[in-house]
Amino acid sequence: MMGTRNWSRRSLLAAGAAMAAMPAFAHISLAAGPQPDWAGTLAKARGQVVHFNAWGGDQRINDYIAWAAGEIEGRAGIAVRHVKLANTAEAVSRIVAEKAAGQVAGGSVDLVWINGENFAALKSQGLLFGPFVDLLPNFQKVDPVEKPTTILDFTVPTEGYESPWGMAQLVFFYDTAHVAEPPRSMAALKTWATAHPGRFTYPAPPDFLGTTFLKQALYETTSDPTRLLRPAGDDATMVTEPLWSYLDGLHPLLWRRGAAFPKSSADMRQLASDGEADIYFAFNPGDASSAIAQKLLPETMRPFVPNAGSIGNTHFVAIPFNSSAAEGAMVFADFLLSPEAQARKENADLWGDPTVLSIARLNAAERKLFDDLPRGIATPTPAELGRPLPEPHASWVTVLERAWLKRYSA
Amino acid sequence: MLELRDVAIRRQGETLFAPLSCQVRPGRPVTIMGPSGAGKSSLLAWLTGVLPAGLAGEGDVLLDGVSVLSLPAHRRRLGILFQDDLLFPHMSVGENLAFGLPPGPDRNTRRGRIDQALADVELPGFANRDPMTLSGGERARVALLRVLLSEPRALLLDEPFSKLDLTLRDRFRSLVFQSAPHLPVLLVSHDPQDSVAAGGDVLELRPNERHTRIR
Amino acid sequence: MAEALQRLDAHRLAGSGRSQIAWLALVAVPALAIFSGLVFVLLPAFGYFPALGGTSLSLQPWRDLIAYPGLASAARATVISAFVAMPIALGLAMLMLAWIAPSSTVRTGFPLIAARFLSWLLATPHAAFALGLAFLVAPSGWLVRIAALVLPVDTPPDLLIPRDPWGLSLAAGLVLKEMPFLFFAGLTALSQLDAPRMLSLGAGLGYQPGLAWFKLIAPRLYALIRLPVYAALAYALSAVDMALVLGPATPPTLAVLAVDLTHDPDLARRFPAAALALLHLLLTLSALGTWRVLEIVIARALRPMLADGVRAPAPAVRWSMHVGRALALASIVLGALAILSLPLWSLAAVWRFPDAVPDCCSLAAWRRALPELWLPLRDSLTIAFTVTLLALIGAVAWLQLERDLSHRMRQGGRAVAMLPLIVSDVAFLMGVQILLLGLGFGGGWLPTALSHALFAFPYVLLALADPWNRLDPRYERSALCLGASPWRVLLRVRLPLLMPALAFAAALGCAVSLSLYLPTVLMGGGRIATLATEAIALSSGGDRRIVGVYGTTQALVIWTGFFVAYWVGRRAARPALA
Repeated sequence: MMGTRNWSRRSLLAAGAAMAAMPAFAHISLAAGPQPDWAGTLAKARGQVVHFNAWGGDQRINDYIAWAAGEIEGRAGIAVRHVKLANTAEAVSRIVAEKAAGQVAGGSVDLVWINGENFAALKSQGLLFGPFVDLLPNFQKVDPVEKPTTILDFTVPTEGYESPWGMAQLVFFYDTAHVAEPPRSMAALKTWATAHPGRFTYPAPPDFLGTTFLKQALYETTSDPTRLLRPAGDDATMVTEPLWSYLDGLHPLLWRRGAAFPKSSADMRQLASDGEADIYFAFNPGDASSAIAQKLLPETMRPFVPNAGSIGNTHFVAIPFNSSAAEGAMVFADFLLSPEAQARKENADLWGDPTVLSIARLNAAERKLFDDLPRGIATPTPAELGRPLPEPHASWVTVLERAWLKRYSA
Repeated sequence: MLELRDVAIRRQGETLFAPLSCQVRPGRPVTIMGPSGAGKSSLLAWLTGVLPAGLAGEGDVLLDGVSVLSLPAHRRRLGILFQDDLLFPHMSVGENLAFGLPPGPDRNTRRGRIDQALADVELPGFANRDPMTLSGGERARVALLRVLLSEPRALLLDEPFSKLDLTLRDRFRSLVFQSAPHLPVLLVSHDPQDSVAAGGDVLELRPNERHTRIR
Repeated sequence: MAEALQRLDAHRLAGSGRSQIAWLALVAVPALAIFSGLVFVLLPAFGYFPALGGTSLSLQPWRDLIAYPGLASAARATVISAFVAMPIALGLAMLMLAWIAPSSTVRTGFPLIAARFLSWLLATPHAAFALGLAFLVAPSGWLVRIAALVLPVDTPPDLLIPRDPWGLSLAAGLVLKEMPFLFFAGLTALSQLDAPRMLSLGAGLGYQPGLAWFKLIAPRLYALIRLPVYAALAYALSAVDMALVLGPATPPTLAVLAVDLTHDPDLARRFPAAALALLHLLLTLSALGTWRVLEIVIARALRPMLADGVRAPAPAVRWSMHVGRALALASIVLGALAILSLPLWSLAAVWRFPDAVPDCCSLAAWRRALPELWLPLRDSLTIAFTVTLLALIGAVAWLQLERDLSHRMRQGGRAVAMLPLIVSDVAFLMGVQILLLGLGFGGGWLPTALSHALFAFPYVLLALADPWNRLDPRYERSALCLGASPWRVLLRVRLPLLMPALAFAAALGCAVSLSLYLPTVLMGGGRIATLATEAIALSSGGDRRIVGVYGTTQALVIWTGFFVAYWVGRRAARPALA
């Protein structure tokens, strides 16, 4: 059994690397410096108001965005307003509707925090501004070979239409005071849940973290994981069948017996904080550390990663086609990509989200910013994280969400 | 017999009128007279047990020799008739009267009593009427019936005739006094005609002076 | 003097035609808003919306809607939460009225304290209250933590509270919010009933006071508060903010589901979203109709009680009255605790299960939240002030213009003004949103403020109407006879005399606007963040301290408004002492 899993994982990683080597690279011009009209962009951006639509459900992220907004206002005279979303799909819906209504300029969304199926939807309908990523000076510090997901979003090439912001990998956290040995696979999770019913749960899809849990479970239960790297087809039911039988058996052992689910990762962390759950998970490896620093979780929390590896991706910021402040959005996106902003983001006391930058491409002063970062006691080491599993193709997200809603909602 | 002993009403320490004592016997209604603000209505309010805040009463009230002051308002069985008929608008005439009747024994008997009472005051068949469709005089009669049907032990009248037309007033006055010969009746009024029709003792409320008995 | 009055009457008759037209124009505003909203939700519900690709009528949206997973459960939770909450809220409100304010004056002592608590409860915004209540009743929440002081509770029990699929936690929240609303609606209506004399008459006829109140006052009182009861029922069916916090999640109540569908990135979902909004409207109307039928049935069943002559309640009834009073007290305590938990959280350094009290006290949460708090606070206040100004001017104009109209026309106008509170707001707001979309607007400050005004106006009008009509007309007649024009009379005599009522109505208008959630979400186009929307957005963020800051700020702003109104009212009543 163990051997099969390792084989699957290796083949998965190989397939993922192969996809990264595809012509998606073609658009990246590794030219020496930023395009000559960056100064013009800066000049145009001054005085603009950028409505940054970003998920607002985590106060630490909100605080970070507030800091970044303050910085860019002082440096470049751009006013950034954080529009707090409950779900990125809201912003997508608004952009799509504006296009349908013929609103080609002055849109209500200027910059959006996005990835995965939402990005795929906008890109395929031609609703994004760009390509613009090459114009950003700080993008030179990103190495797509080292981190392929910075230009491949759920296996869909970004083609310069979105700028990477942070690395994410699914990491689980458990309370060492209540859990002796954490379950490091889905099968082990079921065993553990049988012994400790009601102490674990996952957010309900279509929350992105909940869907990722489904994807992780799907990787571990389906017969051919590499199938997921290609678009979903007519065999979707057959491919996902093992997942549903697994969940049918798991749900009665979950928190509230599967009759209700938390709304987001922050909601799940709240359960851990309230003592209602012993295990939770997040996309941010530094999630528990920063929560401990902010006294939201007990200091006995520690991380663990499934033996089969866990899904990792990159999250991005993108600019809608009808943005009223495209230049300001670009300047802000560039600032978010700067070593200073990325280092502060990775600070486990504040947010803990890993950087997309390549350390090798930084100069000495910039490297220093990352050297002394507090890691946090509940952050896994790079060895523990291992290489992330690639995200399945974006089309699987819709399949999983629709099927889950049909089976488990009501 | 209804007896008042040294009854006084105070507002913030000041007495409204000098202590009042009188005996009210059945068949000889007592009239208490005085100008507006002398405390007539407050006196009745205190007697029935619903004195508003800010006023206090002292003295004793005895009904057939037993003090009623220890009883809550709804147990004193002192019927009261106001200036306004105060018929309950959400009930029919018959329901108003039935409200006054003591409980039991069954609907038909009760209905019979109500119909008989209405016929006695020349309002036959009015049981299903809406009180708001009746004239002032008719409403006053119904209000009287209602309080009499509740079998009170004494009857208190708070200027019940003043809102009626002059022509109706005499008829209604005689009706009231004829209907309750077995009850002690205490009438409060500022109209001298009322005291003449009542026929019993008349007391005039004066502040800070000994009350004067007229007649 | 007589001549002046004659001139006034002639002037009035001549102008009454104009004022009628002006009044009709005012009435037309809410009527048109609702009508256009409903039209623009009706068309897409049947597949017609060219801008989104729907060019012909069809039943496909309805087929999509019925196929949506969980629709039946959503409907069930919506109906159960409303029909469980409303009778309990109404019953408790009536009980409280009979208990502490039977004749509409509240005496000092316990009744006054209870009435004060109820007014705090009423003035607390829905969103903030729901957040406090969710924390209070959760298995890891405050009640269990207090119980943990005496009982051996190690880990929180795995009970599904709140967010149970039947909507009972939502019903509890609704009861706690609607009970004070109906109580105060009843209290203001009581003054029209001549209760003291009725009750003393009842006592004179031998009826025990409580029973006298229920037989003599309650039936007439209910008829007077019928409109507020309907408004409360309509709110219970369409509350989105409370349902997001206390109601079921998968699937949510119908109103929440409609909003979710309307924000779905798949534009084709807008059609079933419109169909759902229309379904919600039909549900609301049939719920109101059912309630009306219930009113008639219950009235008919209870009518014989009025005439049976029974003077004292049966022991079973007395016992249930005691239970009712205990319930009413318990709900006031629960409500107070729920409200108190918010500032407590905002000052907590750490508060983890099973501590009954937090590690006080730290301003860290306030310091962290303040920079981002400023913008929603500013937007909330600017919208609230604008809305209140509009509502006040509208109400004053309305009341001034309706003076020459017949009673029936006035009643009709009032009913139209109250329509936004009774018609499903999900339905017509979605329609207005679709209309704006078709015109190319995404939404923003102006549509948000106007939609807020639509909801605040009926409250302001009703709060102002009674004092307006009770003002002694002889003041104005004297002023007119002294030669002042009607305008001057309005501005220099009537309005200054009504200052306390105007101040209160203004505070009420601000409170309504500050509490609104759904109109901001649907009309704001994603650009308008108010304290209400931010509090709900942060509620699933895992840090209750920040939520406490937002909820406390929202509640404080509203309470401050009422204090200011009270103070202004007192100053205006005694200008000589100023």
